[in-house]
Amino acid sequence: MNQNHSSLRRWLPVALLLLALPATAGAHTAVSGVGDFFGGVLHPLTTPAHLLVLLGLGLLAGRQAPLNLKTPLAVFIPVSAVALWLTTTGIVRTVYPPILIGIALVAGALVALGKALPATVIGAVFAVAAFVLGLDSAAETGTAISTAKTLLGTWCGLILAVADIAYYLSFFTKQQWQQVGIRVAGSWLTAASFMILAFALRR
Amino acid sequence: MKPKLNNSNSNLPVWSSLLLLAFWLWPSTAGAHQETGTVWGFTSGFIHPLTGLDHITAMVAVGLWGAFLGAPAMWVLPVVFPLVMAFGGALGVLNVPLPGVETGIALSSVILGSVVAFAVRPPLWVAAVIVGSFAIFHGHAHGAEMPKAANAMTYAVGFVIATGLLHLSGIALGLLVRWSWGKKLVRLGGVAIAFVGFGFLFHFISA
Repeated sequence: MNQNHSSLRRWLPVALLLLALPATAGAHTAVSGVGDFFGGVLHPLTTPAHLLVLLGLGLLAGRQAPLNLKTPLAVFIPVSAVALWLTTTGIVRTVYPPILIGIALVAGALVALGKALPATVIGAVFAVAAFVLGLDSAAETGTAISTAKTLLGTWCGLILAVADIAYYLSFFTKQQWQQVGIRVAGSWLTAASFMILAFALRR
Repeated sequence: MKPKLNNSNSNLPVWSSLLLLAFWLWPSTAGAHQETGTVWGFTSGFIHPLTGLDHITAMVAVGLWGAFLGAPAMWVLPVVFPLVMAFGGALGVLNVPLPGVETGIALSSVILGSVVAFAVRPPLWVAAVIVGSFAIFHGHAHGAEMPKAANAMTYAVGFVIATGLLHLSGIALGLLVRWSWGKKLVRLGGVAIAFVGFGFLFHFISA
């Protein structure tokens, strides 16, 4: 106990100093300065619309025990790879944002409903989401190597985000109240997505 | 053998210096543009339901009533509310006029507080319809009052999360109904919420 106390005292000044580091410096560090690959990895996590979709997919894949990621990932991994490759052709640079939000809304609503879904429905949602997320993740113009690194990073980031959310969520599906909590989270996601769609339509 | 670290008083100047240094280094420039952007949108949306007593009381009442009714109402009502609230929010964002929004919000506290106070136990669908009807007014207010500069996406996420957390607070308080004294306390809470609602209602009617 005393040892814990003393180590706490030792690290507290460090924590305080870290807290005191100027936050303004972090305004643009989420992607820039971390290199092409890690910039790509962080891209889905720093784009709010992508994050909403990934959250919806993670909730959808991880809500039921036992965890079964076979179908979702078997669809998500190749489709997102194809979509990311398509961005290099320049046919599509960005996706109309309401499409992304619409996918988040559908995923959230399916989670909120709480019904067991056939693998084809899950697969279809993951296929559409992977395709749209991939198309909306075009790399900034640069050398071919830099673009390839960024897209590879984005691909890894997308897969890791979905798999991680689903995996960690699966620890919280044992009790009934935990499953209720997941459904409530799905309803929050649906509600937020619905509102965002309205904002988009207003513009 | 390590010496004991029991000289807390002697460390005081060091600590105060560090604290002073931390405050001195605190990034004041970050606040220069706080009224726009992703973070401001979330903060603005999150704070919005928490800044109005009429919103807070109604949200907590939803949770209290849900807990009072027990499963499945305990989770159906907090699922129904944000979904219907989002519909009302969309109407507000799109500038679709909705008459008597403020009165509806005040009335929601009166009705929801009263049903908790009188321990009303209607069928689940009736409870869902009552809660859903009031959710439209709350959502409309949130949508219509969104700051122009705020990031729409994070604003929506912020206010949905804050609303949900208020429901959860109501449910947590409502779980006291397991005990007889808790049941009385929860019903008393319903009375208080209804009175707050009446206050707002008279304010809007007399204004």
